[in-house]
Amino acid sequence: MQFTVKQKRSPLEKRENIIAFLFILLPIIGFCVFTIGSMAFTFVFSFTSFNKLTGEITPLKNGLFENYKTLFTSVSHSKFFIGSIKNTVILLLSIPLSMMMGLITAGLLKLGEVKGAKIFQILYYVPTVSSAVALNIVWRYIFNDEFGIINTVLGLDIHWLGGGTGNGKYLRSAIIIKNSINGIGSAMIMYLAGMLNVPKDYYEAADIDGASKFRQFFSITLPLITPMTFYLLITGLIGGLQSYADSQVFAAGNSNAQTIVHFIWSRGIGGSAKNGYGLAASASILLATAIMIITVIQFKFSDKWVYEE
Amino acid sequence: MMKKLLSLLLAGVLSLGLFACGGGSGDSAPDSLEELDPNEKITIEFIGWGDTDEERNYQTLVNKFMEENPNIIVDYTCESSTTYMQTLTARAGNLPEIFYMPDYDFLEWVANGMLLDITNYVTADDINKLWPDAVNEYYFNSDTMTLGKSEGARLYGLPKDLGPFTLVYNKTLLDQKIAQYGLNSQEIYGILDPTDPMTWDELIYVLKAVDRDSTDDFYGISHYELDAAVYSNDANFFTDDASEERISSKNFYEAVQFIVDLATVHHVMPEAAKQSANNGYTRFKSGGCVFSFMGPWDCANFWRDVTFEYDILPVAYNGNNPNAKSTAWVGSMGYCLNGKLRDSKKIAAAIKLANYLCADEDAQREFYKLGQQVPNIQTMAFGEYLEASNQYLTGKNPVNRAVWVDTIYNSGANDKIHGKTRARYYTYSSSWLENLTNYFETVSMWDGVTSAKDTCEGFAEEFQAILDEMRGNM
Repeated sequence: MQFTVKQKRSPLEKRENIIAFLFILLPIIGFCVFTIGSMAFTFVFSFTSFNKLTGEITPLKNGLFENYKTLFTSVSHSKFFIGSIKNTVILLLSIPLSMMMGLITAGLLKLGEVKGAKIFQILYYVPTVSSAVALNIVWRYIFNDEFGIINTVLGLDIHWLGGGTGNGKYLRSAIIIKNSINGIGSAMIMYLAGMLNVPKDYYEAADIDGASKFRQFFSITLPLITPMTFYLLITGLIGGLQSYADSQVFAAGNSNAQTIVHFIWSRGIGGSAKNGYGLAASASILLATAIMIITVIQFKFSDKWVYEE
Repeated sequence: MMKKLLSLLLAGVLSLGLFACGGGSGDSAPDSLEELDPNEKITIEFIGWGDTDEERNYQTLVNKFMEENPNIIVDYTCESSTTYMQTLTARAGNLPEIFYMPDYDFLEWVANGMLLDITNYVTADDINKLWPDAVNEYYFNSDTMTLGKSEGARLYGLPKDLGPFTLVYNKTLLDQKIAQYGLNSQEIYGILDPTDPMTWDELIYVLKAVDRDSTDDFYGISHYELDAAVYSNDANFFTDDASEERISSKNFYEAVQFIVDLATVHHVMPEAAKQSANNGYTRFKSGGCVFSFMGPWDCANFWRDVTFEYDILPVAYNGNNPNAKSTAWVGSMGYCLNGKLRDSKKIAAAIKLANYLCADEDAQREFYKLGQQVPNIQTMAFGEYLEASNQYLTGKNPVNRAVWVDTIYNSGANDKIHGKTRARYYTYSSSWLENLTNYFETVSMWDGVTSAKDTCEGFAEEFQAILDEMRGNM
């Protein structure tokens, strides 16, 4: 027979708990109202017709899932919604590219053979701490067809910013290049931190065994920094799927680079009074679900390739 | 279980919605307005849009209004035109007493009951002196859901202005090109007659004469307005009630092809990609082209920034189409009142401000002096505004201001020059335009990859489906 002894909390302990709770009460209220509350309302609005001018909420005429159906079948909206999914997925290409470039940069800086390594670290990290809007404006100048530095220096005549034959292809390519370069800084810092944490003994043992630097990188460094790769992949994918400034600022609303979040914005804020919010809400729910599924899958398979001590 | 939970949530939100809609909708606005007590202060909020020039101009006028009406305090805010409608929509539940309403959003707002019926608050004297087309745009019949003045229609706004968007040319640059290429100045200026619009062929002739190198970054014209080309070939996007498409008509695709050819055949206009990289306004102001488009609202900015001589012209028309006439698009904006306003004093103050900005002679004079608009008052527009000796406009461009007045008057003064409200005014949303422009780009029509005929005919069925869907969502 087992006996459990329930320990009574002292009044002091209780008081401390209450005080601690009071300290975090405001953020909790904020989270409930502005995050949970908004999510719940978005979920419900996705099944209703919400008139954003009058504030009237009415049931949908053609079934509960009319807004979801409209996203894929409406002649006015489906092309843009499906296009935005395609664009968002294509633009995710910048994530592996920036990770690769960040890894290479971190490797070069870690070797210690680069003079002024700290300055390079800061320079590469500047885009990470800069405003997305400001960055996109600068990049628009860089990619400008007529006076942009890329076309001028390389002697190219590519219409990067769209508005012409193949504009989607070039516009998306420009965004991938831009985001890959912008992402180097954060990937580099993470990888550098990961590399510095790899015990030196491993490399010494490998040296004794005659392993080349190349082999050491692939057999020691890369596997041991997989937690960083995992982190960058998770945050990169979530950020990439929520990309907005690329469409709004860099592509100036060009539908060839419209992302899902920009589609949500265009329907929710700029769309028609009667079904704009409903469509935006249903697209938001679909996007949130997709992000959740992708993240769960990533975690599920992480034990197969992510190093854990 | 899940279904039950969802139903419960839906029921909750729907009741919330009903609750939210209930407030304030029961009472109605007063039938007539009482005289304001000069000793009682009334504060009203007024929101408009525009750049810093427009903001400064309006603040000047609002200050004058407050000087003349010391009991009314106007809290004026100017928003960027790009975010204005978003701001206004976000404030739909708590709108300012008076605000701008662009013509292309008027239908959606008035049909949703967001604008106050002001028919009883304005007198015939107030509106009879204004451009009839300008006032008629703000009538709406809520029973038949139709726009414009008709039996049973009510007035929901006073016009801020009527703004024709016509051709403008850099006279200094044109004279340079005439000298550089030894062109016949008399012939060129004979074509550029402000009272007799040129045909498309004549425009192309002039553009080719001044832009001889198809490889450089200098162009005859910065861009061409789609509406101007379409309307000037006796065509339209759809029928007036937006029920049937007209993009598959010969006149429509001919107009589109005319624009495509300017870039791809005649090489006198930047190709589509260059147009999106560097907008026409910037290109014109920096001397990168001879021709562009300009509206009266651009004057303040041009007077401040532009150092060269320039003048305006009516838009070109298709000389091969016997029914085609030079027709520019004419934009408009209304001063509208919050549809939920019930306070008689606030309504009276807001109407007084709207009347002042829209129809007061001093205010209208101030507006054209500041380079804001063509006067709303017809006699003033035809009179002092056009007088060569006008002390406020002497020495200022454009000299051919009559082109704007003729376009607004829409054949009343010059049968060769017309103006037309943009098609967007007649529809609840812009999805038809969004889809059409997207399709034009997708098939690379502007680059001449597909012909305008094939493009328009190929998209006509889908365009009709979009119009049908849009009407179904009304």
